[in-house]
Amino acid sequence: MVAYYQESTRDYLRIAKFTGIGISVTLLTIVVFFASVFLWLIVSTADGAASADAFLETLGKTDAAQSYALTSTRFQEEQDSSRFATELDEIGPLSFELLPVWHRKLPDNGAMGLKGTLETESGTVFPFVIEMVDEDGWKVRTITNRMTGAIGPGAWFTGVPSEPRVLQFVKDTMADLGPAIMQADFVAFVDSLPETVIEEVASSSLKRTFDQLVGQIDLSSIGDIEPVLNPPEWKLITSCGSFGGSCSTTGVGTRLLASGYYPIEPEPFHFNLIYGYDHPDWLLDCSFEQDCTLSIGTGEGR
Amino acid sequence: MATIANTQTSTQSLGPTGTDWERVRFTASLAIFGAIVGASTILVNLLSRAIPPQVPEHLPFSQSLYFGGLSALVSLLVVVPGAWFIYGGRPTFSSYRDRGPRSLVKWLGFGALYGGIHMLLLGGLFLPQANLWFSFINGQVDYLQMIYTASDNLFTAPYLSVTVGLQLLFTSMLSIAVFGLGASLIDRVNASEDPKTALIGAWTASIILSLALIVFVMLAPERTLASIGSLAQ
Repeated sequence: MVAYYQESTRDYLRIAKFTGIGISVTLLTIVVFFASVFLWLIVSTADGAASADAFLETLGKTDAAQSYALTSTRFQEEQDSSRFATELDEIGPLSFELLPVWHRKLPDNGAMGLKGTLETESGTVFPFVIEMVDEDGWKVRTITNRMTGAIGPGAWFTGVPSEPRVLQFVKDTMADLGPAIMQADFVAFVDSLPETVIEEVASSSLKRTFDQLVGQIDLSSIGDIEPVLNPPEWKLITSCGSFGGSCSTTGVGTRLLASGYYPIEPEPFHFNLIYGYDHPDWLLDCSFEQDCTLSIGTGEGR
Repeated sequence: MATIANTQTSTQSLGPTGTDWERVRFTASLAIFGAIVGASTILVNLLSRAIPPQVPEHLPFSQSLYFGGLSALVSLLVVVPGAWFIYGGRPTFSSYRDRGPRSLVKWLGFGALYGGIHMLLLGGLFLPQANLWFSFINGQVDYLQMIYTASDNLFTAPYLSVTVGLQLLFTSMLSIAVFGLGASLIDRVNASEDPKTALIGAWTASIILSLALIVFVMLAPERTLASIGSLAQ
């Protein structure tokens, strides 16, 4: 019997070599591709990011006009310099920092968005977005830490309105509410409100307390009297679902309770008014869950 | 007297040598047609995704080029090796071998294979990555998100090939018929016994069929295309 030896016709070494080369070339291609894209990203966003950094640096200084000068035309159309300064005042001293390059997006149609973090004095860190637009150099179109809803050009922060602003909200409301109480015409008051809140206010607890005051108080000179705010001037509102379910505290800058009184003789006129932030304004926001009340008298029984 | 030691190895070829132009011609003609079928498949598919009251509308030219080109590329990846393999190599001991044409039924079978692989490759790997790239270059996702999502897409490709691939099902079924019929015609012309017809005919058939398909996809009413793409559902 003869034993035959046959050598394999397959060259396994060659197959392994080609497989190795194939895998290496593929991996190298992927690495080169992502590295090139990263370089492209750095180059295309460098100018915009530098301008954003320059703007953020000016925010830390006291001169709001210097920051305002670095904003775009649309920004300045939508927000005047005094409102810009107010927004900065209300948010208080902050430190801004842009996220690293790999968090950047490519510019699209001459605009780019950059993300960053802002740190408050108390050390709380919030995300923010700054949108840059290319118009004779990169300018700021939007800077905001309001991350929900459509926020247009401007600087919009979830800051707490200053006391004079809250007093102004109350005075504006009372300018319409006072005459309405005198004329026993709640509809006239409701009609003076922005359309978005009419329905809620019309069906709120404000109507009940309004009816109780009709004929009980003389508010003819309310425009001449300065309201007094109870400390604290504003607070967060906790709203709950049916039967106390799903309670949640609405964050800073979205709801405020203005509570205080008008020093009217013989008895003070008390108010609890809730305002909600409806971009870009604070609007009276009374509803079933958010109890707005008006009353006269002193002590517990008022 | 000849001995084993005196025997010399022969380097003489047993058949025709050089580039197999017949095979190259067949593969290239089929690749052109396959690429256009692939491009049309995705464009018709995107039209057929409009759900009433949405009105199907052609994508802007740049986007049509982008997604059409992508689908054409996937088609090339399927058709080129497939056609090369189907056509087969030269015979070893003869200068002549019958290398076609194959029957229409066979081509419909190959078409089914093409449609299936194209659908799975496009839906599982290429379309998700192309969508991601599209979002990145339009400033919708950042670099880090792009890398995370790209690797995520890569590892979930088998799952995506079913979920995304199935969205291409009806148009892919249509492409099976179109590709099968067209490829059968190209194969017949390519296998013509008249050398001139075989030489020019395969290219001509491929280009004419491709142009006809492009013109149809460009000019046919969008609603008709959408209806065809969803198999009139």
